[in-house]
Amino acid sequence: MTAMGKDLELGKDLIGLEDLSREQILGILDTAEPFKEISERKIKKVPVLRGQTIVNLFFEPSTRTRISFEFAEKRLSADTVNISSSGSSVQKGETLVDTARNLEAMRIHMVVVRHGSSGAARFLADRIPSNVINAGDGQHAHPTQALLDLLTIRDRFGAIEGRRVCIVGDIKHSRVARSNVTGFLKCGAEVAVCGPRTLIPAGIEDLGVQVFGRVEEAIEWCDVLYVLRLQLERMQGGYVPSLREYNRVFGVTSRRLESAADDMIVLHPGPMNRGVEIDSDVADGPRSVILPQVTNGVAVRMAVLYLLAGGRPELAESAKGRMP
Amino acid sequence: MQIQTLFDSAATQQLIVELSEQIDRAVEPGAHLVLIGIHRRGDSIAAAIAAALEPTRGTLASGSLDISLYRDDFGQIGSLPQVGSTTIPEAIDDAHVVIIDDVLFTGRTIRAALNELADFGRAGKIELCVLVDRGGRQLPIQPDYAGHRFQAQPGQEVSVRVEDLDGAWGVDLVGTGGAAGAEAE
Repeated sequence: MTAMGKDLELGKDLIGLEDLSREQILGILDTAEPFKEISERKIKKVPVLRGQTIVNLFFEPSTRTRISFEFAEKRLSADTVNISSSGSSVQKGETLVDTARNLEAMRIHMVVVRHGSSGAARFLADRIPSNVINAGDGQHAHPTQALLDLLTIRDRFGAIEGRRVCIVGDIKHSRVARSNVTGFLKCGAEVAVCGPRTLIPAGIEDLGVQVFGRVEEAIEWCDVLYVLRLQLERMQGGYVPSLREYNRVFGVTSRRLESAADDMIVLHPGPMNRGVEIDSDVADGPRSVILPQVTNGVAVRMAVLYLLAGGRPELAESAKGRMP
Repeated sequence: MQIQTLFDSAATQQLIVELSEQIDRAVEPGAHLVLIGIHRRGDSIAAAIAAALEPTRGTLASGSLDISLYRDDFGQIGSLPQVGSTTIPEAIDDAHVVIIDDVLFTGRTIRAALNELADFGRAGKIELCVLVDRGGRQLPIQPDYAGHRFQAQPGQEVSVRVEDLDGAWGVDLVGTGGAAGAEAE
């Protein structure tokens, strides 16, 4: 039996990749590898989290992330409860912390939280003893998305280090972009962003990120093109003239991809707006790894749940010699 | 830490030859025999047994089982086991499965392996083959084939070396048992 090193202890919560070391990130990816196989089994379930209760607390709409977490939880045999803001006491004015404390009182183990406000996951994690996993908070972070993207890139290229990754689209409003830039840089990739200047955060170059004004240049430069949608729900207007114009200037089309390297791949975190940031023939084309991303999402989330649920360093000493 | 070699490379390989012969004698000639090694050193022993059985049994279906997610002490031990990969041949339904591990001690690993195997199908028969049975069982599990049986002291550890991971075959007894051995653990 090999014990994981101290480096892999994730602590109580997963809030953002900024809290993790490169070794911890790669350790999560390594842990995700064997979890992929479980989803290919006839009986897609292992008993490791039997008896653990996990609450999925989603204050913002989500399909992929919520379902992906729920599959991950169920395939590890945890009991799950889904709560969305509509149809809960949140509509009656209950605060985030009160909702969580009430859940705590029902003896839960973990909370997966999605919230519209940046910092909501950390706020919650600091106030309840359960493990908290951030499933997206405002414009701050979406760590499990970045982890599944890193896994998908590693699957294709064998390593992340040295690869050129360009994120194109609405960088400013995107928690996915924030988490991914952090993850890519920590894993040693070269990182660039591309989009209308209005949607590129000021000072991003200071992080060591290159900025492309033209999507054609970005496509020629990169090994991995990471396409983001325009977050119209977070825009107050005036960022782009029109969706049609955005597509004409920044849309990822198969014609534009003709100048790309042969092994260049295209990722998208979903939901896609076909015909706006990405054309259908690219999304469904040979370079697209959009569906493998979704498959990897379940494995990565299983790994995170497993690592957070099982990390009890304080018991390590007393348990020595008890191994079967 | 006192290390005593119980079996050197040649003697360990002889144990594997004997185990292969025992299996060959016991399993019906026409049976759908599947060897499943327990990750990681059980894998190596299973591969060696499969090679030894090849002349009489042909190429055998073989698989590997990582039991980390079926352990009964999750959350109680301090550091998490690194989860390894599990590969099971497509159909084990009605097969004659032999689970292969290096050392049989408490029996808890085999309990986990039986539970995991059941999630892959309903084998016709499941048997257990171990290189060393060191005693100290905590569950009602016994081997059908054992290369060597003896009663080790509670504080002692039986350590099997396999060629592909450790460079050479061998079986070592680590520690002297009793209070001193327990302390060393």
